Amino acid sequence: MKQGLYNKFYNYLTDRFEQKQSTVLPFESESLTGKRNHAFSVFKELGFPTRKNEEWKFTSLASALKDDLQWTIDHSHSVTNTNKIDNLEASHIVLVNGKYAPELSDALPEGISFYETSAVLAEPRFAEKIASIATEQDSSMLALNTAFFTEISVLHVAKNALVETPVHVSHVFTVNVHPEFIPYRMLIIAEQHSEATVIETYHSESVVHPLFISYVSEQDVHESAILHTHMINTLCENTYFVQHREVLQARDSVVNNSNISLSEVSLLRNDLNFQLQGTGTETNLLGAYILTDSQHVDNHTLVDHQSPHCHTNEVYKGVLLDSSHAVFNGKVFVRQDAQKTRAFQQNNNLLLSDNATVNSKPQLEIFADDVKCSHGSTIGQMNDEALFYLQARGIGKDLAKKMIMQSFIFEVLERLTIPALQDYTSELLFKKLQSENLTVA
Amino acid sequence: MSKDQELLETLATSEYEYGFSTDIETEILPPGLNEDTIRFISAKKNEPEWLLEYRLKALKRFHEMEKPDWQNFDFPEMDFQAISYYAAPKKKQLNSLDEVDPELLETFAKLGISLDEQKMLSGVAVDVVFDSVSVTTTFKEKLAEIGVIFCSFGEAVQEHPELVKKYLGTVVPIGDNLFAALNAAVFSDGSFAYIPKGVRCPMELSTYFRINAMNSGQFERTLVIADEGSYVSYLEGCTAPMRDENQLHAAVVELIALDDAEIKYSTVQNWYPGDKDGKGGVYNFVTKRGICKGNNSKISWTQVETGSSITWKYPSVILKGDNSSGEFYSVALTRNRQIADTGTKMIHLGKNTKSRIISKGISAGFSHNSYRGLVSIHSNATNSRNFTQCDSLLIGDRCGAHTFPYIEGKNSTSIVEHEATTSKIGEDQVFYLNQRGIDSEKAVALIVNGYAREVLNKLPMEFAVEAQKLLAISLDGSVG
Repeated sequence: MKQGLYNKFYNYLTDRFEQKQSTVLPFESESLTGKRNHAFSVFKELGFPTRKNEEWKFTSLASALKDDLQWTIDHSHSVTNTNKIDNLEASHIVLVNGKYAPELSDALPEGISFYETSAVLAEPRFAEKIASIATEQDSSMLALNTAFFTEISVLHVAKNALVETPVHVSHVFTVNVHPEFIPYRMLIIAEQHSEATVIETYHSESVVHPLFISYVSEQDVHESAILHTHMINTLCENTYFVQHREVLQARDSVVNNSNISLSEVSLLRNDLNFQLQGTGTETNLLGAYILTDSQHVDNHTLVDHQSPHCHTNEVYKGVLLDSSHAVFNGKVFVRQDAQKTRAFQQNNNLLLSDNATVNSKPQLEIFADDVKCSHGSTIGQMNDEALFYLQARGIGKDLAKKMIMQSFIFEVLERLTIPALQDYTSELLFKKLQSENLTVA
Repeated sequence: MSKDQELLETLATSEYEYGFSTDIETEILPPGLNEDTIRFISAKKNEPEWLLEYRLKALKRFHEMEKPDWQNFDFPEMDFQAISYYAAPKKKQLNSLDEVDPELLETFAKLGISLDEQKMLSGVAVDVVFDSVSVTTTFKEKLAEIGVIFCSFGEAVQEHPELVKKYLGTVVPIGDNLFAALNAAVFSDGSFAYIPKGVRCPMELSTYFRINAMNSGQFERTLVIADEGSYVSYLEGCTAPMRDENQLHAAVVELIALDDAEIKYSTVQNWYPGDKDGKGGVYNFVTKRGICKGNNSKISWTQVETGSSITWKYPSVILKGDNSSGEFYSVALTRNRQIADTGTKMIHLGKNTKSRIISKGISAGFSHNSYRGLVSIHSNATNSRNFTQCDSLLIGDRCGAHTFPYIEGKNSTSIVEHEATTSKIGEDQVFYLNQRGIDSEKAVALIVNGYAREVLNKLPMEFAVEAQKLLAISLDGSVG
């Protein structure tokens, strides 16, 4: 059933693609061009997803897909703020509107290497991987990215390398002269027995016109590798961010992911998919969000247990104010032979305004019998007794409420193992709660 | 593992106990669905013009609608034109039990339902729906004394058209879903109950449904109205004879509770589930919905689902009145190739509304058991409260248990809690019982019964016994 959105921007994109305008990068391999063409045909058929699509039931892209969005290839902008994190000892990589900015980036420590677009395309072992981890099928937003992306970077962690210094990939989006569409992607390969930390921050500044960003991250985590990934979102208003992340986990690998959104982003959609292909893997997912005004944040996670003895643990917590809207959709699949699976999932929401909406859908699909799976989801308010306790000690109601919200979210933040990151996110949390127009019901 | 295999086999081969069909002459309409079918049914039942129009409107909607595509199983091929839409036992107008076909009585006896003195003494009024037409109604007069109307739907249309017209289709509109539309177009008969103001119905009202005539889908329509301050407990139970061809059952149940009224609706469903390869079996696509229309009203659904090859059923409550409350208690047991997709919708519209959902799924063999539910708190539903618990138990490594809960909150003073767990019967639990001299089979039965207890406890006495029997029969040889 075709129920897509085929608007002016859709026509604009399809025209551009069909006229072969700069959709092929220099040195692009034939197989990649083939994948692009296939992805384009998928996108062309499906169009942009609408709320009739079950996966987009609660999120409408209509407001994000402005008619006058333009797809520009040249992203050579200069930035002043590269969004460094205070006291964080990390190697810094800066991507400006998706494009690598060497003059702002640091050299990487031993064991981990970075490749920008042309280097990736010249290296067949990377070029072949592109769009082979995340494959389209029925996701038109993923297909859109595959068809149109112009920048791709690769982070490669060498076999047996233990990289102690985190890599901070700073995604910066800056000055635009017209509404802009930015599709780009990243590939992370963690070879056997390696361990590395990747911190990704998403930051936008002086965005005058709406910015529609499509970001795809593919990750291949090999046997016994450990990969810590953090996503911290500080995008500003008028930014619409759609991310698709596909992670393959081989035997005994560990992936920790945190997904923190304490920003002013207008619309944020994360599709985080984890395919547990090998046995004995571990996956820990953390998420936190505070939404104000008419912000819309939609987190879709999918953990696909394909092999036995895999453990996953997921905690997402959020606070909703004003007329914001949060969507949580956590899927856990346990395939037929994935015995001894342990999967836990939790989503807690503080709903503090009558105009705000929470849609939570924790979903389990289990085809094996020797499993322990559970999920919990709550929508509630502050504990009156806690509030009273604070007020009884001379703390004003407003401040007390903020403190409770802060501690609610801090339960997630405190699990970030890097102290500087904890400080940074706590400060973001503080700032978000201090913003002037914050009214608490 | 070999033991498991053995057990699975014994489980799979324990045949349907109530599989038999009764030979009674029935009047059958040739298969097919068009306006003429509907005019025929309507004329047969001597219905007023407005009801015929209602049916025709529903048929029109039915033709406009597409088959649902959101389920997580393959939708069976269904030819609506190959179904016969009217079947009625030829003998009618009976004054006493003696006149009832002895064969029919025997059938009921086999099912453990007796229309004789014993039943009367036990205080149950049974409105027996044998295929599509009510054959006999007991206790009607006694109920009439206190003003309770309990009769077949056809009778209600003739005798109380104003009530039927006022409430029919108000909870489940004709275009609600494909099967509700089909039912609205072709419903043959069903039950109707009206409890007047302030009356506490002194006995459990109960109906038995049976599918009997070959190839006749059954389209029951049930309407229960509890007027201000009244209380009624309604029981519904069904078993069906063994069949090779799939039979469709698309019933619609509507409950309406006005101010301070309470309706308790209990179901035990044990229709033919198909053989161990999933051949045959009843498709049970039912739309059940209640509305707490008045303030302080309450609707409670309790169901035990063990039969049908596919069950598709979401007894829901619309909590419109302030301080109203809704409950849903369910045990669904599936084995062989059965599919049960069941759950509830709790729509909170009024202030201080409460809902509670307890769903227990047990899947064995190659079956799939899903909970699909919605809890929606609208922005005016201040101080509303929901608690949901859905647990799944897996017996065997080829079955599936799924949960699809939709949770929606739009109000800042309401609390919604949802929790779900999935696990198999713990080896330690079985071991514990083994140690105390209880063999594995009994141990499993004990554990499952304990697991389902919370729901079984909510059933009226008569049903609780039957339900426990059902669970035990279904678990026969299912030791893991």
